Amino acid sequence: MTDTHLDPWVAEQVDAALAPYRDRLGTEELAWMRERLIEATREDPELSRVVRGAVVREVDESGSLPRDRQDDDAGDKSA
Amino acid sequence: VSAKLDVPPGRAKAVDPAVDRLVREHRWLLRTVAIKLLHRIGGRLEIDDLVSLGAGGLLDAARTYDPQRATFPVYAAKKIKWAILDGVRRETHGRTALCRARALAASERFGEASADEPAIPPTQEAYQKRLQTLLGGHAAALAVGLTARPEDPDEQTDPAGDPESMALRRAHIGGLRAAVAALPDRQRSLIEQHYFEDRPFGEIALGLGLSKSRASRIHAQAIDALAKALASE
Repeated sequence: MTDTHLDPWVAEQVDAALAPYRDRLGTEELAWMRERLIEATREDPELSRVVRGAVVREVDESGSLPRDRQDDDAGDKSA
Repeated sequence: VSAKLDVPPGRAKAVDPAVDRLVREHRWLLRTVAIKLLHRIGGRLEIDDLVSLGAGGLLDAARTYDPQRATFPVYAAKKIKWAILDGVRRETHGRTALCRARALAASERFGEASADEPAIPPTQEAYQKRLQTLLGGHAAALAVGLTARPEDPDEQTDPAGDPESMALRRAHIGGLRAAVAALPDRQRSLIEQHYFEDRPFGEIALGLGLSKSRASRIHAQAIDALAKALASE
């Protein structure tokens, strides 16, 4: 499995995305799909960007977005 | 080793020295992408088979590279990946490899089209909603790629499949076909031709009078719709 250092909240989202297929596909296929989704959260450019913005973190009292997320948002605007 | 040696049969012609240089300097990418895909596809594939399938992708990348759009390794890796996935689909490497290559291609195509979606508001809630949509789409793309294919009589009597899982699979494929039938015309036609009739994506786009990028966006919309339909069953 490729779960090393996987954020538990992201793992929950991956499992939720697989839920509709749980009673329809075999366990081997589901395990393969789960590995691919986890890889995609790290390697697909759009998905990994969205994961960074979505992942649950401690919130700064000022309400500011974390620095890396501000960079992502600047990227959105210039796109 | 020059680019000339990598030209697929029937396409041999004089190679631009700049193209030849790009190919020679980036041959390492072939093995890098092939190793990654070998891990993902598994089955009875050999690394050298994948390297060989990817060679045409590297040459295409060198010929069509536009430095304004991406670095060469990023651009070429994508081309190589597509060449390998298409090659595995085209050639016989066993059912598991075929299904996984189709699933990876479906997810890749969905991911590429999703990158062109409009920007979302910079809030955590918006990112979380988008993440659920994207993961749902990638999961649907993988499931469609793994299971939607032309009727295969052998599969009905697969000795390795136990009756219960075969029944579940048949129910899933029935539900998938019904969800595809309910899609708007162009989405339905594209999904049916590509997955149930196994026709190449570029050929279908041409037949529907669409550019490949427009067809990819319609494919992503169809996958989104299928994800919602399958989740609500």
